[in-house]
Amino acid sequence: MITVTSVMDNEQAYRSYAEELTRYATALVGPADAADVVTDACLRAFDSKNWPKVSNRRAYLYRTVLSVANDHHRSTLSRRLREMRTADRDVTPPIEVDVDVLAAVERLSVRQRAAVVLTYWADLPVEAVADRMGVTTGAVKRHLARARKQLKGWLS
Amino acid sequence: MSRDDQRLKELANRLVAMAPEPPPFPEEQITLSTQTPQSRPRPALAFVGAALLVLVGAAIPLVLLNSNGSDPVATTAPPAPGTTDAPATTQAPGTTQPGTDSTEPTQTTEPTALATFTTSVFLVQDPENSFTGNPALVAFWTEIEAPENTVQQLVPLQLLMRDDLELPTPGYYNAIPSEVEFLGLGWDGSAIVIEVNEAFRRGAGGLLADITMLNQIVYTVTYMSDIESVRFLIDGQDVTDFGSDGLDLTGGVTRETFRDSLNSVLVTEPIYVGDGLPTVTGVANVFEATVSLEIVDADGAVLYQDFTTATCGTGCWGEYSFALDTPALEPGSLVRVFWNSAEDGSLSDVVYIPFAERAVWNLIPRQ
Repeated sequence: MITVTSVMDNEQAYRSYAEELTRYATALVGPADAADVVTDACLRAFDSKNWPKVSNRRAYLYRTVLSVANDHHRSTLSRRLREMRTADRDVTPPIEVDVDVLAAVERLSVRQRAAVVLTYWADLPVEAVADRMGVTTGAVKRHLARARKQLKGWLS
Repeated sequence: MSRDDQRLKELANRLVAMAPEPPPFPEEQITLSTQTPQSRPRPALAFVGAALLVLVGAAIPLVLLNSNGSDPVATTAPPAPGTTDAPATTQAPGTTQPGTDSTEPTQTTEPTALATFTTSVFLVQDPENSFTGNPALVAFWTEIEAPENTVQQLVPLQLLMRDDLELPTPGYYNAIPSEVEFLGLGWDGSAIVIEVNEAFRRGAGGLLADITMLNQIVYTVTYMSDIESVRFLIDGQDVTDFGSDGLDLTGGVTRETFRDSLNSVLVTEPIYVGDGLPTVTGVANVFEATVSLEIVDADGAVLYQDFTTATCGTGCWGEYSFALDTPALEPGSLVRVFWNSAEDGSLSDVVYIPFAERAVWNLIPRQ
């Protein structure tokens, strides 16, 4: 049972990080599903037995968002992109999307996207990226290297 | 900052610029979810839920390709070993398959050339000091020559069924009975569809063996695809009475459907031996999400130790990854992945992985 106090704490944590978590989730699963991922991740985090003991709630929430995004259907982004490409031109998509960018990242895994966005958007050093992803620094470097390889077309 | 870095920064900034407004604080749902604690879904119930969703999918016409199908994706190079997601534009079955309005198996053409497929298969191992008695799945990568127009996702399944297959030690086995044949593979828009022979219906002899067999097939066939659900057809009909318990597989099976019937530590990527550090990657559902790894020599002496935190634990599955920054890893080494018991610190649910620089197998096609 969540007490009133803990709900207030959770809400405080949520309001502090919701915006950046939504941006992070957008990079991982695309804009259409980002809000759902953030909501699911927060519910999972707040419901966790470990949550009251977590010292770095920001990093914990980032890890949970990544975990939920991983659970998300891996083809979601591709599917959305295909839907957008084939959609009736008269129909305005509910969310403004950057199709070029989505096309570029659709071949990246969720973890590769996480490594790229935490490194290049959040400007975090590799150790902090590893902390927010819940992986080793070596894994981060590997994800970045593979992402660069997959993004050859974008980089050239 | 290099030009590549600048482009990546631009990419990242444009990605997050698409972000919608943050969702509202999920207060109501929190109250509900905490007042009524939910246990992990039972696989059987999850399956029943999935089965209800299949009715629409079942009506979608299928295209099945046999092992020498003319599908263009079969000729594309497979992704590098250890990658999680295959490039959707070249690997995803649903995106490149022509003629999906046909309900008849595509006529095959004679193979004209052989191609080397780098692929991954999952093998089964009974873990040491198991808490549940459930088997573990471990990914291995391999190279195999096959006709270049072979359906890519079918290659590893056919590899598993070869009677000249030498399985790695220690204790790896194939949970798929030798009588089972994988006759074709296609997709219905949302699921990979595998045509199997009648022997598949009998399962592997007992509920756990049946489920292990399904898990091995599903993990293997979805490795090279971004489609997660797998359906099984016999003579064009969904299998509704699989194995000793007569499971209805109509709704399709995903990696999650029967995951709780596996060991709490799984290795879902072959050990990566590319340019960077070798990595061991998988999923685990262990106490406090703490996964441990050791490298041992042939005598069992510990050469290297490490631990990491999975993205979730103690009741939920999370991803873990180790980067092995050590010279201890060399051909012949054994890597073991496990978690430490909360009661006495003992090694629990231990999975052993033999390390080899090259593929475990390098086979040529059966004549």
